[in-house]
Amino acid sequence: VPDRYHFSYGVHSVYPRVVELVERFRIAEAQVVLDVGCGFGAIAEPIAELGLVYCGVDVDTDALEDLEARGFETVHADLSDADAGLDLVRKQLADRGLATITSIDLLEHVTNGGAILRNLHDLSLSQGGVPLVLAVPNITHFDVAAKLLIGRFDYTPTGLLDDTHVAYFSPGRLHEVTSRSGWSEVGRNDFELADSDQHFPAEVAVLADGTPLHRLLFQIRDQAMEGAIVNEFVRAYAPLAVPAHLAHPVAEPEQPFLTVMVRTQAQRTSTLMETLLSLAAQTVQDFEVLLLAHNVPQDEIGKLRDLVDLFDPEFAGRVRVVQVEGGGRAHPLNAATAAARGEYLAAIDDDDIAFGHWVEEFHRAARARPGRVVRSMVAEQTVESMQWGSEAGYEVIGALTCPFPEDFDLWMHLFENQSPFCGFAVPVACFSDMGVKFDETLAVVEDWDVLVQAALFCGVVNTKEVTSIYRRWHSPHSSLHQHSQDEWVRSRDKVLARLDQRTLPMPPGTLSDFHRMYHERNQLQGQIAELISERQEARLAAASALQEIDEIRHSGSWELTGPLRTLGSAVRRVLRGKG
Amino acid sequence: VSSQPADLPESQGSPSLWIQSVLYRPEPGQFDRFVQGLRAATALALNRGWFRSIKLAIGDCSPGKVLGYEQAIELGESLERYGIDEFEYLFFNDNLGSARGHNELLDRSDGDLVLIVNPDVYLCPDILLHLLTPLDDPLVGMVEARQVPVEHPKAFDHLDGTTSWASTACVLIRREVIDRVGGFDGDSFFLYCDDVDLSWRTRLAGYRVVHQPSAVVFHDKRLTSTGGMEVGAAEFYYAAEASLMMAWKYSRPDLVEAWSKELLSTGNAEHRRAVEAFRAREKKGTLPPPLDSAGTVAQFVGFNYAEHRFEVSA
Repeated sequence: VPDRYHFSYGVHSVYPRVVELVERFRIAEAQVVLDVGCGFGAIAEPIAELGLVYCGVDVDTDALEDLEARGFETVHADLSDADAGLDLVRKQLADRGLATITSIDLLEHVTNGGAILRNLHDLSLSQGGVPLVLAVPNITHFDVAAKLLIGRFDYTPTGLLDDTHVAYFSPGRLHEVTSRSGWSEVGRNDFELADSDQHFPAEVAVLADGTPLHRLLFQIRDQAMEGAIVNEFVRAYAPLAVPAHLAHPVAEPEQPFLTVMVRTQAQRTSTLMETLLSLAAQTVQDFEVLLLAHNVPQDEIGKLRDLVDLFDPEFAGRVRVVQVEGGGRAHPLNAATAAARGEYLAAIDDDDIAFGHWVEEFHRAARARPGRVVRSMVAEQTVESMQWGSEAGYEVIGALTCPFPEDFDLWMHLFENQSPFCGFAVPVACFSDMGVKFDETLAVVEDWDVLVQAALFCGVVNTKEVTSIYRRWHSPHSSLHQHSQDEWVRSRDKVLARLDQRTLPMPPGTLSDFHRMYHERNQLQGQIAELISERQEARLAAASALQEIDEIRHSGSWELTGPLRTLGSAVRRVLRGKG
Repeated sequence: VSSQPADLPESQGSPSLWIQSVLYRPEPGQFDRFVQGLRAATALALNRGWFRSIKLAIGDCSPGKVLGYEQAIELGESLERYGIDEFEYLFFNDNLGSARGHNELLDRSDGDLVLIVNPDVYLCPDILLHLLTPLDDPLVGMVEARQVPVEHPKAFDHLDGTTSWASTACVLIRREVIDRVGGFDGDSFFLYCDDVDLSWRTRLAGYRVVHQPSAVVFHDKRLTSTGGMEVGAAEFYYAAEASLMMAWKYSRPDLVEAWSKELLSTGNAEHRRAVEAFRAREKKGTLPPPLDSAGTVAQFVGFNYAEHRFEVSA
């Protein structure tokens, strides 16, 4: 181990975080902490201070000699060797219990990390299930990601891009490597550094805190996945009884084009039945349905499943009833984004209805312009509650109208929503990879919030087809009635305020739009100025006329002809009376 | 859907059902979807004992066979697994039109009840129960399903469902009604209004025609971007022809005259062609004898055959 790795135990370093996890997860009655790939053993003394026995394992003689000189146990072993390596460790342990295994900054330096972790898993199980604490640098730190965007990959002697690293870990890669080796994460104490050792040159726009570019890139990275400012992952793991690599692989069903979310509280079975009917009748059937039973009592869940099973098995088999408890209107939607298997995600509520080409149009446009939000037109129709015998039904009372614009207008959507939820489909990757979520703190407009975010990221393609009907309830059923106007305004303001805090990735053409609006504003201002000027002139003319009238009235001839005017008025009144 | 229907009189037991549909150049996949909806609805109806037997007849007016021999056999076998007793597929080798096509099938029918359906519909699984329930009343002759997503705006009585006429997009009819009124008037109606005419003759025979809102059928219609209905050129012709025929057949020569004038002066080429065709029949004396001279059942409200609750589109 080169001397450059001879790090001391600093308070602001990864080491105290490892020791904290050891304290939290160690086997209480056992004493030995095995530090694999220990190097100079930066945590040896703090472990000893906890009353535990530190034992360093490494292949580097210098490092082990250093540890021995400080009075700690060592084992010279290569733990990628399942037989010889583990034998040496077991011999060293003798009949002492193993409290924890640690491994700090080892996995990024070896090409056989998986083998080491699997051997440690075997050792752990043979000792009754000993926890493992790992510390691994995070290659997806924002500083590294931002610099890659400007073509920089700066190796350094130590740190995130240490020039001796041979393996790199993202959150996903770490999960994959550990779970395949039989470890399940049970705790985390990541070491965060907003400005890592890669934060140079600090004045470059992608890195400099507060620049518009930095804000945009950081919000994308931060929203997309955990770990934007994690310097090292510090995680605790418990051994799985059956490691993932030994478990029977479960065949993944084929990915459908679309996942359809249907929220229901099982209060309107008649309209839910129609919504499902309209899905069963789609011309393109490449979709699955998540029937999101939100706060539905357990005994009603069975009835929902029974209702679905009334349909042809080919359709019913693609409907999953997902029970969701608690939270507001957005909560089941987030549950659905996590469970969705489709490429795209669309929603239709249990009182809305699709035309036969609802899925077909989404499919056609998504295939033509992959990765975009697909938007169709939505018709609106007013309905009101009506009793169908013993069943709660409804009646259509208004004409079909198409009040929403044919094409998506981002500017208008930054003022208000013009796209009902059943009119658009969003790539699932927008949720799973870009980190977009339905805001569960919003009482309403959660769909508008997501649509605007998705539109900014993905752009929108319009199908120009009317493919669904949004039902407006002329009764206390509708969300419009259920949620007061105040709530709508509050939610809208919240969405807009959050957008206003962010750097928005506006699409090409935005400058032209700005120019158009700027010219329109100038024209209007010019027209207003003209009108003000005309009004002023009119006022002056009126004042001048009034003055002239006044002068005439006070002139001598006006006063002399007064009796004649009185007589004329009287004659006119008499004539009108006769008529 | 869990309840049994308020049955027909017990002595009669569950009725037998004859289902029929007439195809004309269906869109790809349309017939498969029709069958999928149908088999779920019939399977439920048979499992719950609402019907003692169900037979299905398909008449094909398309230029070429929609089902080949093997496909028809295969479909019959698959329907049998869903409990359908008998499946008949008749290729007419001619575009007979809706009314004549249905009459051909009605001639073969033998159920207590007849369900007439369009092939571009998808039946809601519980539809047959809802259609059956109003037939507890022996004076109900026809029960019409509610169409979605575009609901027909015809007015109906909110208590007993009574309405002016029933659409054959999906309607359940007593066999005895067919026998008494003699099926569709295929000589007068090719594509439209054959169902209005059948409904009015059913009412003239003393039966009620009922709209059942809880019986739901998905009818695959589309809207234009302004919310209007998509209409093809042929539809202009047949709709105009049928309107004139309805006015004539239900003793409203005044409307024949007024509509002819309007179609000729403000209509399109298809409209004018329809007026000419009607006048040609008038000259030849091949128009049907007028009915309902007292106007007891016929309702002409504008160009509609019932009061409407709302405009289809604004």
